[in-house]
Amino acid sequence: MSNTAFNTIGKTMPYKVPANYMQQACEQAKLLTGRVVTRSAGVWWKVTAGVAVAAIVAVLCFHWGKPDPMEQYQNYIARLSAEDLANMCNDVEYMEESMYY
Amino acid sequence: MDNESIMHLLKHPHTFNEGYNQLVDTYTSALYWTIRRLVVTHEDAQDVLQNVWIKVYTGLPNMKGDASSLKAWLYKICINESLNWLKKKRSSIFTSIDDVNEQLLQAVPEEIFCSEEDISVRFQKAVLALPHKQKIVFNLRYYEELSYQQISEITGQSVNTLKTGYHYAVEAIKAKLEIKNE
Repeated sequence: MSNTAFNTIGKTMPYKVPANYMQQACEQAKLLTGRVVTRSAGVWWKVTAGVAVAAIVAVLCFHWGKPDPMEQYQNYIARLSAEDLANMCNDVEYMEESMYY
Repeated sequence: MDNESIMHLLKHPHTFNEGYNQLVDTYTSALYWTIRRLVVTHEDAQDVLQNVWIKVYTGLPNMKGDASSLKAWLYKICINESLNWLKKKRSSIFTSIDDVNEQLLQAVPEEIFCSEEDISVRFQKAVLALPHKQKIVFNLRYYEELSYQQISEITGQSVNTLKTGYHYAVEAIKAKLEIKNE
């Protein structure tokens, strides 16, 4: 096969292409000029909203997670035995006495 | 519109979209056919082309180079996207990309508008049967008429390797066509 024949023989493409496809492909590609900007703006909006929600949740968890001091004290007293309480009262009496004398 | 004028439009933010639209008008057909020759089916070519334009649009602001390298840059994205697409089509990650050729050849009869015995179909089948590296060099040289230097920028291979690859590709295609003619 000569080079001239070879250089022309394969240039005809036998593949089917839908009518007007190239025009449609151009129009589709051009739509990106609007979509990519909108999409990136959308992403930033979602990221900002996500960070804000995460911050609010973190603050609320921190607040709710903190034990109430009064409740903590009551639980502590409830766990003490009668003997512990008696000792505590003696300690208080001793402290009071040492303050006055 | 030539690459110089397109690059001029792309450099300025207020004319960027106009430059991109000119780029699309100038290159859509050429890029489509480059992809189609590699992936064979129209649906696949359509999907790959869309991905290519997304990459081009998002990559243009960071593109390094001037008008002379614009064409090579576009084809580089085009070839990489097509190869990635073909890699996804492999049956497993251990399958070589060249093994996809058999799948591609099977898709040909559905995609053509003429007889399988037509010389143009036999030519395409002979091209499809080439190893991928040779196929890419052949397509870019034979159809897109790019210089070896431009193909080197796209594929990263040396000019001498490309020349050898093209030579082997031509011989392999001729051999396949002549065997059939005898």
